[in-house]
Amino acid sequence: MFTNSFVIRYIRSLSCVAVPALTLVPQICRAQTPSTIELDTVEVVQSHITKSIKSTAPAFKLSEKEFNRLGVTDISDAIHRLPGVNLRDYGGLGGLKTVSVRGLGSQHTAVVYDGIVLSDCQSGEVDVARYSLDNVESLSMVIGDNDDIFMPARVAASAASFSISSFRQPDSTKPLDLTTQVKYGSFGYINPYLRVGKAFSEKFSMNLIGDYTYAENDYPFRLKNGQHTVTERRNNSRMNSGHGELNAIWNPDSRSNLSAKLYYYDNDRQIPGPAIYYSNENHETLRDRNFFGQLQYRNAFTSQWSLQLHGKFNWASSLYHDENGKYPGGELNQNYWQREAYTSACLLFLPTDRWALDYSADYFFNNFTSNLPNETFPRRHSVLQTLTARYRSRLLTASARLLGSIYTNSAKLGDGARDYSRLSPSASVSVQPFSDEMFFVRLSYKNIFRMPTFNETYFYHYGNPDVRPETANQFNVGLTYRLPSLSWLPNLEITADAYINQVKDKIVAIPYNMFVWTVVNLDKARMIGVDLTESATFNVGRQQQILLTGNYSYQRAEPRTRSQVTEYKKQIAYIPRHSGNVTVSYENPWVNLSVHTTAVSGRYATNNNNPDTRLGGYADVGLTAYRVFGLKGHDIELRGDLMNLLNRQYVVVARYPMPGRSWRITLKFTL
Amino acid sequence: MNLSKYFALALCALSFTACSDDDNNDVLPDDVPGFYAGKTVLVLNNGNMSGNIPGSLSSIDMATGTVTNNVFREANGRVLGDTPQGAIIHGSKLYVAVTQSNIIEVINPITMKSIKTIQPTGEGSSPRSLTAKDGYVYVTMFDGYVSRIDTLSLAIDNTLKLGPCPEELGIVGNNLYVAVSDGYNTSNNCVDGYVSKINIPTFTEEAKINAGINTNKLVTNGHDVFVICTGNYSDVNPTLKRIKSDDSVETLFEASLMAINGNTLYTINDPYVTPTYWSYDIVSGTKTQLDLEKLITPSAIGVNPFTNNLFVASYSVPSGYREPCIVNEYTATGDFVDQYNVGVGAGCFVF
Repeated sequence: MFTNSFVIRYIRSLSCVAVPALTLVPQICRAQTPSTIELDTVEVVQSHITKSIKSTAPAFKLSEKEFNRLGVTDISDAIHRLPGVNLRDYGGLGGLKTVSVRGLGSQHTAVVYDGIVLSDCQSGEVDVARYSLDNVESLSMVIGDNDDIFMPARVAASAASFSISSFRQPDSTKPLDLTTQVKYGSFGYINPYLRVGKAFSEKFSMNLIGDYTYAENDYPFRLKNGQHTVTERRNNSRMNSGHGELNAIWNPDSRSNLSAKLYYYDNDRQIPGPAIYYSNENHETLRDRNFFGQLQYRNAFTSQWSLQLHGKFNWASSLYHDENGKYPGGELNQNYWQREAYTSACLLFLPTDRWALDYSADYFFNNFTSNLPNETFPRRHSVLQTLTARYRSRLLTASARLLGSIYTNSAKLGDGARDYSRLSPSASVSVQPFSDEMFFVRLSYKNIFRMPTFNETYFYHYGNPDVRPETANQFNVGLTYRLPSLSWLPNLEITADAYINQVKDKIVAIPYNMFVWTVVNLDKARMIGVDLTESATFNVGRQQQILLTGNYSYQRAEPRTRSQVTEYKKQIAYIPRHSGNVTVSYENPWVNLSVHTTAVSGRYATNNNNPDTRLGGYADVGLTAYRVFGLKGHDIELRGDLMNLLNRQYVVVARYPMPGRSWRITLKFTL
Repeated sequence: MNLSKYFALALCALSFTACSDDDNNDVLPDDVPGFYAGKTVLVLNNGNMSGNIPGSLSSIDMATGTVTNNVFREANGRVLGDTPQGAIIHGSKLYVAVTQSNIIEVINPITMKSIKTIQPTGEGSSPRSLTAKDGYVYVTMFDGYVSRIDTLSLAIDNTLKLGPCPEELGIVGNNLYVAVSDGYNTSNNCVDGYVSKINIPTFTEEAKINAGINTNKLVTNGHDVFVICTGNYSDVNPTLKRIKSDDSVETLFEASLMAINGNTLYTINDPYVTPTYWSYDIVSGTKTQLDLEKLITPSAIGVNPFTNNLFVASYSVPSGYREPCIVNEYTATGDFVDQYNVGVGAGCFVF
């Protein structure tokens, strides 16, 4: 979009071979024709440095090239390749997966899909398991403020943002851009996928995506019981899900762009529930559906002024069902529906070549209904505005932002929650102290809050309409470095960040009396940590490279409410002190291989760190092999994955065992 | 579900340890104290399943005042299960209803070793509470049944269908009274709840007694039946009622927990305010308030029939539902005697 220009020289193939991991993969790659210069090694010469090195706040990106090269199997595996992220994973393909950054909790992470923030006003968290990597062009994570300031205000309204960019634009050099893929794997897993797109003219293109996933998910697991270990199979775990998307892109002229999307997702799954001693029966099911339509318009009117407009309508339903004689009528049906209407306008002004100013205003309306008795039908109007200034010179980038938020709550029956309006400042800077060294020092501060969810405010005998938003102050200081390219080491990048987060008015649920729980702003918490990342590419022979990437996080997240004496200064539940990932990949003309390990240290299921609730540390090792064959000018890709190679039995969330050793084969055909 | 592999394993473990001891079953393993009526008090801890804490048994030696926690796990090498909620002694055996794990453990109280793990296979699951008479143990099944266990075969030999969520139960003469709460239906004032009066010899339901909203607690001293209707958690508070021999219901006063010893009923009233503790004389009808010290949030109450002392379990810290509980012992008039540290979620006592 409106980024600095860049120059790439490369050889031979249509795809960018040997692009360093965790870098910005230029869009231009896919449509390029082969160069006439042949070199033995690949050289990347650029004046635009990768996002993660130069950005003022920690920012990391994974593109679809890396999904193969680094052996990334699905979105939860992709998340493990990013530092400072805790993934709460309930196991298996149907298990809920939510993303929390630096111990703040998943409600502080905004999940962005093609530029617009996904919402769930009921629980405040997004289940990222529903987004399959097959349809993802790139994933990025920003902790703090994004240096790309020309964005809707809502993207800035969270402590961290996790962005998913899907394949929207078909390859214009092909008469028909067709990709078809099928995956098949352990525990009755099959997943066909189709993407077909066409550029009808220079100005107009469309694409259509459809995929279906079926999985039995009846993986065996081992449950330790005192001195014994019992082997069981996950029961009542089958999942049936499908998804379709339609994209249309129109470029009326070289300065403007209009894109539209329709999205539908449907998941009908059985829920195995937690692993209970001596019992393996469960009858719960969940049917989730999500439909949205979004429209986005961009226009660079003049060289100084640009405008973005966004509009979205979102509908989601969640139908929960359980059968047991304890319920009146023998069954329980809890049905939830939510809707959102969203609009955003962003205005970018570039007064000089160093300054950029952005004003963004978002308005959205949410409402929620359910079939529960005592439902109050809450709704909320939200107005968010950001004013951002960015200064960029050759050796310095600095930006400052003020977010103004207004939330007005009401309910059709009963009392609405309180209204809130807040000003949230943030600022960040990145300095290159030595002009001839790609060495940067960065500093950032962000004050942000998250509104209580509708569950926390309204849920009968649980919610509290007086609960206040939870506030976080984040401070980050970091060093980044990129080694000048050498012939045998074309790329080496390292980043090191240290941070402290302070959370006030942390929202927790506590027992109100023997029978009823309630939600209060009870706690304070503090998180201190260090995130390290490294990515290196070695040339080891003709067309052969070894990639070594890794990340490590140290997290010390403490409850800090003095009155909660048993928890004070212990480690917050489910946050490991140490976590990380190491991936070694060998790219070559025969079979590309990679070995990747995610390792996490021990955690506790409770804030008081009761030794009986300790969950052991684990290492999940995976192996990936893939190869792309050419067939009459088309590409056939064959990939095999072995997950949890060491068959280590572990849990992320207590009583939700993760699958042991399993395999998957992928066959992909691109026209 | 396939538990046969598990039972084979447990049986092997059992037989191995039995072989290593003398044939005399009364020989104690070194580290697990046995239960002796009048000398030991057992506390059944519910645990906290979402906090990854299974249920357990704690044994208090009354002579020395020492507590041994996790006696079942120590004796058997495996945990008791998830959310046990009822425990009684009948004949020479200890029976524990483990609700979420859907098993009834039959335990040798002296060695604390499992004799048999009963797994309901027919109708009825989620064992909730137990009572016993004449060689039969009666257990309520939370999904709407009451089952009878023959203590000779240690198997369920009869099951009776009741309303939703049967909870506590008790026996007077030839009648078994079961509190059927319909507790998941508070938005409809638990309209399908009642007290079931079952004839023991025929094991059929004789009468349905309408006691109040959410009738889930029941105690008896062999001739009087008392229930607590816990209410709907909004405008109806937990209330103590008495069921008379003519099946009529007499409302007494507000209470949320109770324990009985002969003609004295002890109650705790703790719906939303600071808990108050009472001693109620059944014969004269007089209520005396007790001043019980050192309690934080009471979770269970019991009376030791051998000493007439009162036992009250409580959280050890405010909102400490995942912390080990404390049990305080008081005299019948409320004077503090001793405090014991037990497991998480102390729920009931065995004397």
